[in-house]
Amino acid sequence: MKYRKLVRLLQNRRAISAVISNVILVGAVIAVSFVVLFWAQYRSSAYNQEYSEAVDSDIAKLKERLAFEYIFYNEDNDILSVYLMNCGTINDTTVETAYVSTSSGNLIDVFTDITLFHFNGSEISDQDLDISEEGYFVLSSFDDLTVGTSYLIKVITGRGSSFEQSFIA
Amino acid sequence: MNKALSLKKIFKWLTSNPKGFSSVIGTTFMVLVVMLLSSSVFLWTLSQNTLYNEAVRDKNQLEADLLNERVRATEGSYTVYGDGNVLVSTQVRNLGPLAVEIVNLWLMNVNTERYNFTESLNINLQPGENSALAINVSLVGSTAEHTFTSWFVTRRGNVVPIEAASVDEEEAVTWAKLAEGIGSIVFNFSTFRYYTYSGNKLGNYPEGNPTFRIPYGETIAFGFMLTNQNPYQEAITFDEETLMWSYFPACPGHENGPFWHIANVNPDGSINATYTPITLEWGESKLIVFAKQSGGWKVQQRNSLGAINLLIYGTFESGMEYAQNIPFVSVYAYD
Repeated sequence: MKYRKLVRLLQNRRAISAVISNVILVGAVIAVSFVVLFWAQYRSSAYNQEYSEAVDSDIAKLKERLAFEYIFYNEDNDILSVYLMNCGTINDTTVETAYVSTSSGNLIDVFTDITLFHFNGSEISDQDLDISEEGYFVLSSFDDLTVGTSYLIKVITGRGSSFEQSFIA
Repeated sequence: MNKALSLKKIFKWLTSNPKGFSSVIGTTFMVLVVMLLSSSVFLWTLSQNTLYNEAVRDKNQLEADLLNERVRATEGSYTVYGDGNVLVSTQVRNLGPLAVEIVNLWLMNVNTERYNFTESLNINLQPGENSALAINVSLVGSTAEHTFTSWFVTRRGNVVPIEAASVDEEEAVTWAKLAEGIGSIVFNFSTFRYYTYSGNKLGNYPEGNPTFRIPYGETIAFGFMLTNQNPYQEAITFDEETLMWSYFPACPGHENGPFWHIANVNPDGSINATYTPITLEWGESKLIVFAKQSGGWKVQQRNSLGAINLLIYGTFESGMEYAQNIPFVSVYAYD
């Protein structure tokens, strides 16, 4: 009985073409669905990564804090020594840029090539300040500051945090 | 009744039609997958926001702690020893609600414009705690005539300037009246400490042991802050005869205890063999050490309370003689 039905199905061309077309259609739909699924997953994970990086970066910035222990201007050789301590809650705080300006905010000079030293004078090997680590940098070769006048120094870290302190030259 | 019948018909038609049924299942799966994906993304985003909010809260707490930190350093005085060693003495009080850790002391010589610091002090102050500190800082080229300024740095990054020992006008008048009656030199009880020493070196100098309970023995020295409150605002120089003596009334026949001579102490705690006169400027507070125990009974009476008197002998900067007896403190000598 079953054998007869199968023979009849094979002999019926229309039925076979309907099955084949259905199989092809279903296959195509499944293939496209997988492509869409993988694309959606890729986009979703890319978004996750971007968002995660942005949040981590913001959190790291929030954890950064630098304290100015002392700022000393040596008028004899126009050198400004800035003593810092990392009093934040994150390691590897670097100093990328320093701005010196007048107390009213007029920019005097910008420094980008900054080398950090330990308080004992030796260079900090990793060029960053870990938690509670202290260090200083020296700014030289800039216009004379007037002794007894108030100035501002702004330090920008590698993570983009900004710390400002006034000092009297 | 009709509605139930029509639903039954729809269901029957749906189950008998495989195409219609599969599209319902497909749609349901799709909706489920979309909901799952979107909810997982939403929850993940929420967790990231929570992390950020926690970081903001921590930062705010840090800022609040920083603002709430209140430390006051007063009675600052500077004693120069040898070649540029400066002993910074001060009273530090934590007036805030948080414990404070002092990590650095900075010292600047205003005259030479040189500066130096001491790292890793690690002085902890509980809320309300008061502490007398005497810290050595090496500052080459400093002399006693120079003016200094100094400040502490706390672990949270606050800077605490040390206020110089000074007397305001009203206070000066009161002190002057008092000083005329009882003498120009004032003793600060809270700074009293004893030292033990071997050879000629004091142990744990300058901090010492801040207590009035001292061990019985022959190798004990004492240190405390003295302030010059002379009504005529003159400096006073202590002669080498200046000493502190002890009296133990509970030991009949052995009342007179030993006495200790005024001494010059180097920053490393070693006592100079010869005494170089110490001068106390007007308004200045200085850590004065009495060592070289001798005379009378060589040692304190055991397990007894003794009275300590300070016998000062010296000259004003005008050249006039100055002498004062300060019956200032009692100590318990335990064995």
